[in-house]
Amino acid sequence: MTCSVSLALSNVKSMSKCIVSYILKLLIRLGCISFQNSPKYISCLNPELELQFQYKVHTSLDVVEEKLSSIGKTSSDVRELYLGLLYSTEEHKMYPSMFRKLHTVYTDVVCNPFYIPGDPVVSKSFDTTVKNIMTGNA
Amino acid sequence: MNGNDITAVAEICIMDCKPIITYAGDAALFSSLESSLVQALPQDPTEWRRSYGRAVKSVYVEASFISFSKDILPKQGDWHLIHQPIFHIFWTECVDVDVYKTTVREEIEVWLKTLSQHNIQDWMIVLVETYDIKKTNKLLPRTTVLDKIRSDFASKHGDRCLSVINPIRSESRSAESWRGLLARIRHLLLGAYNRTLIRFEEVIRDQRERRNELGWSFCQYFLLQEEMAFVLEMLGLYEEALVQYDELDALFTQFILNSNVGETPEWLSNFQCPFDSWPGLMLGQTVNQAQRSLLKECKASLLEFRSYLFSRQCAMLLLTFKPWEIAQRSLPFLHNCIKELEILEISAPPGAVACWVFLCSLEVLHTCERFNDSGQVEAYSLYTASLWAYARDKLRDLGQLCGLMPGNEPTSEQLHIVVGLSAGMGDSHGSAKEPTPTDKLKEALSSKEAFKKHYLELAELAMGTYKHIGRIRSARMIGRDLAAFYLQLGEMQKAAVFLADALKTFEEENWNHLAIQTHLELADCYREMNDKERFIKTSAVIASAPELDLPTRILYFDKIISMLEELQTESPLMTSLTDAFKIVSVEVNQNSNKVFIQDSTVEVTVVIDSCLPKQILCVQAAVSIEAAKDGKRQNEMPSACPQEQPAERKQSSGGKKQHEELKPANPALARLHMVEHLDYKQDKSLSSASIVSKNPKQFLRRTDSHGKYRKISNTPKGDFSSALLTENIILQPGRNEFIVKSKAQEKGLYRLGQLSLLLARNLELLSSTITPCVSFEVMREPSSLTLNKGEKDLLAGLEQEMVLTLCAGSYTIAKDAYLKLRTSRGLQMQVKSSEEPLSRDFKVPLPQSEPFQTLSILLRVLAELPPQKDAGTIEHKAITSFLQVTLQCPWMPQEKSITLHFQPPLMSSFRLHTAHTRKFVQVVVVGLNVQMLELSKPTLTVTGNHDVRLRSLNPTNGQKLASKGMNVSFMWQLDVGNIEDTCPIKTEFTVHYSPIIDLTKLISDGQTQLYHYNFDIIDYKTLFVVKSRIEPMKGSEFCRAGTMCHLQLHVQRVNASSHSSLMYEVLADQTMWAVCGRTAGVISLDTVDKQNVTLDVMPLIGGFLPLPLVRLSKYIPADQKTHSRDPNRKPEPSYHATSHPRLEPFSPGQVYNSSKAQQVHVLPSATVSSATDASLP
Repeated sequence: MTCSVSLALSNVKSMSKCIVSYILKLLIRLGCISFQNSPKYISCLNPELELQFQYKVHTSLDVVEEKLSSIGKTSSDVRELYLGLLYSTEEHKMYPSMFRKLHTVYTDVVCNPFYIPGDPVVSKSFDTTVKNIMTGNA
Repeated sequence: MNGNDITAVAEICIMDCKPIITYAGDAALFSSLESSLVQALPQDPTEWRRSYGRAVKSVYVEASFISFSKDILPKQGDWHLIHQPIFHIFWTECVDVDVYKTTVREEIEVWLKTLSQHNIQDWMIVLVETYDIKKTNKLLPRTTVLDKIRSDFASKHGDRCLSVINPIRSESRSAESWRGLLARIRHLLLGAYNRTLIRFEEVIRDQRERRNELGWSFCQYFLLQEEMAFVLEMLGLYEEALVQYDELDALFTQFILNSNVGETPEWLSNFQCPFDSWPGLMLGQTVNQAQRSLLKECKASLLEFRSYLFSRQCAMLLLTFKPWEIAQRSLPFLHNCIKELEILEISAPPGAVACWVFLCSLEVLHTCERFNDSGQVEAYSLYTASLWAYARDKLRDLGQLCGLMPGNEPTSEQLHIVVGLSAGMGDSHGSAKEPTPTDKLKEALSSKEAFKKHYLELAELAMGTYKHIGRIRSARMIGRDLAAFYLQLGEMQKAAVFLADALKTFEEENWNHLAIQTHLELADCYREMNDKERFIKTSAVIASAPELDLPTRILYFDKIISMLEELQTESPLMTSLTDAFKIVSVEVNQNSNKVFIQDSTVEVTVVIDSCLPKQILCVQAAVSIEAAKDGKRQNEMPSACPQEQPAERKQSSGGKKQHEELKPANPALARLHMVEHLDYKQDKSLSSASIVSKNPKQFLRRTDSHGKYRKISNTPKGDFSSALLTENIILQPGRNEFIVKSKAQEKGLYRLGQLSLLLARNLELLSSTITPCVSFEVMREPSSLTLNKGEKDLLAGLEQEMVLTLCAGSYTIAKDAYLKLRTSRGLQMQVKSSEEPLSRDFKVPLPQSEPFQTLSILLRVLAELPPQKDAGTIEHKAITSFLQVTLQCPWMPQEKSITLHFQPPLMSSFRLHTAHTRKFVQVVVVGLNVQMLELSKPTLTVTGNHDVRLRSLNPTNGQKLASKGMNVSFMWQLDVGNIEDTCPIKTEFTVHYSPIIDLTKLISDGQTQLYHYNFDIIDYKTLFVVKSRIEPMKGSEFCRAGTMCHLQLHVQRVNASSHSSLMYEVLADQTMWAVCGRTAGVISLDTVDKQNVTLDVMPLIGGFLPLPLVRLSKYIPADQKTHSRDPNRKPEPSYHATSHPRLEPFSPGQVYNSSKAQQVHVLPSATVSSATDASLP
């Protein structure tokens, strides 16, 4: 079982980041984390394990924060999207990876004038795209 | 040393190995030099240039020397490079060419032949010369031994033959050549390694290429490539050596991953057999030969192999002083191993892997701890934290496995497992002071108590390290586990602390699912602790959590209700409102005035969402109100009109909101300040237009998560003493709307504070201060009372209408309220609609009315018209009479006085007229106002007891009009009779008057008022009659200008008078008359009633001339006392009476001048014919 957390840094201006984690094979979940570190969007194909994974994603935020702060110090290019291994256990490894498609959809959501940055994402098209990514149809 | 010896040693240290150099030739010579060589070689670094463009390394070369023999030369296929001689030196000190030719040359030949037989090209011939001072002066010999050697053996490799001055014999001279020798040895030695390693690499590569062939064994290959690592390590190239190990690591991993999809090679299946020992890592710089030999025999288990490889990698890292990298690599290493165990499906006794992981983790951690300078600690803490956590995880797993967790008792089976695990760990070499990881684990597994101690210690370390590196969330996760542990231990208090911490983190970051999960755990905890209050609070949250399923929520809801009934507390249990309710909106129900009037009811509509799963009775809902700060209010007052800020009103349908509170809670919604920005080209034409943000940094900066957490503060309960209240409402799940109200109290600006819901009698949910700020203003406007006259001026003596206007202000006029009016003397009023007569003190009933209504009440007003007899200056003063009305409202403590100004409509005066002895009284009424009055029924009556008769001379039925400036006269004849003229006659004049409404039709309004005018008549008797006549001189018929005439003066007493001495004075117009002789004289009527006086006067002009006036006065001689009837009237003359005679005038009417206004015809002077006397008799 492998699991990866995708951390998508949306455009520089909004400074919001989005974490997407998905687990191949068995279950797929997805959580977007806003800049206040609260989950924006959570989707999990296997609801039984959702709580477990929420704990893990939450814990991995420690590393996200660590890496983001070190990026800020050393590199001027904040658009560097890859953060490296976030969290690993015997069963899973969480890698942030960037789904271009997800990022695009997320950007769409943020650009919606009726969307208040920081609020949970409620969007049909976002759901659809995420489900597609998770199931590998993307 | 040979290979057999090595295997006998359990551990070797590569560090102790040195490159081996053989010596041949003059053994005695060499042994004299050996020690200094061994010492000098590592003193300076040499650059190691390697083939294939590899990086140049700086290497400190050490060496050990052994005697050359054929046996020690490396054999084909033997790649134990570190134990093989790598370089060969032939030593000689032969300086004599002949000796060389006979013996040495042959020796070298044999030596070289042996070397070449073994395909060895790394050799060197050193000729040690003794420096001879004597020789230096001699000519150089044609050929030296060195030349010979070179020409014989090293025609191509001249650098391999070197002569060196023996440092022992002559140190001073030898230094240069000695350094040359050392450099040459180092260089050639490294060259030899380079060559050898290139050859060796080819072998390795060749071996690797054959990895898919049958019979190929990774173990053999591993050992082969490790030799390379050994060499590099020996040369001090630890990083290079690590590369070798990393390559091997990667290769092995790849094999296993491949085996997952393809066939498993034979050698790999050896690893797949179950293992029975799981000793932990031993980190050090030595090579564990036991493990290595196991590998050689392909008997090593996967764990053993991995342990060995990792320990070697760690050794390299330790040598490069990078403990943090060990820590960094540890966790992936352990995870990887476990994964490989899974892939290879290697069975192991339960707990064995956990033991191994635990031992490995602890070994790494202990190793790291040896480096305790702060830089290193900082560097490795980042990784050790998760390692601690991992070790803790494993210990917990073991604890669970072996029944060591609290609440369990190990079964015999579990005890058996412990024994098995301990055995598998192997023996420990630790001491009591420094227990090895194995010791620790064994101890931890030995008893529950020991387990608990170790587990808590580990958890503490893990949490501490996480916190140290700022991974709070990770620390909280361990906290959750610890809480579970304490729960099992029954130490609820401790568990609750950890759970509460975790909860705080989850809530701060809005991880609702996690938060609610923690709430559930906390609730269990509190229930166990029998902490009802906390349990209820937590349950309230759980019951309101939308994340949970309904049955759970209802369960907890019911628990709350039942628990609340049990709870016996004095004050209600306080918890946060947000747990169960969301405030949707709070609006002040404003009336149109936007402010509340004092004592009116303030109503606030509260809309809340109830998250509770069932309906609940809210015993009391209250919204506290706080007085807004005074300063703010003052600032706001200038712009108090809410209309001025339409934008504000749009945002809030009700309630004014403070400016500072308008800032949205979400910074992402803050308004950006954009300004237009125009770019011009050089020719001043517009290049681009754009809008830019002035301070992009403020918005573009990365928001740091730390310190930006949502603050969860427990707001203390504010002042609810004057709260808006409502009681007993049922709150349904979902949206609820209710209204809280209270009376507006003191005027001022108030904001709504907190919302408090008292549920089920003793659970109070309290919100924080309601934001955005909702405020309302309480005002009090004083009521005003005015008394308004109509267009016309107020007139006294006439009944008029006035309007009493009452502006209620902020007051509500209750039913049966009335105004009390009291007037000053002379003023009477009454409500017009009332039937009551006019009065000075009456009540005005008020209709019930709302605030800010205006009431108008018509009043009838009548001011008394006092007699207005005076004219002139007094008249002006009297134009208005100041009358006061005093009003008393029921809600005003003080009376209010209103001054009214009334003008008199008329005034009156009287005159007494005389005709000889007859007297007439004239009363003149003057209209003072534009208001026309009709006067009627004039009467004049004598009020005294005098025997006086008045005969009216007025027309009986005539009405007279009086208007402004119009005089109306009334006349009476006064018949005094015989009474003495001593006391005045008191009379009263009355006349009816009524205002004329319509001038054209002369209609009065029927109501007539009576005007009274009292006056006293004095001096109402004629005492003397004066008659004067101009007569011409005797002999003349006519008076002629310029001719003397006689003025005949007759004074007759007609009524008794106390004055008998009279003075007459002729007051002639000097332009007409000239009085000749005396103009005045005193006559006495003491004895007679009549006196005649003749005076000479001369008319100066002709024509009808008025007679000279004769004035009669009382003459009071000097010695005579005054006979004034009223001594007070003229006190001064009487005072001076004795000194001078004086005159006192008569009152008008007392002396009747019957010749008054008579004229006499005077002819012009002599030239004119005589004129007849035209004077009247």
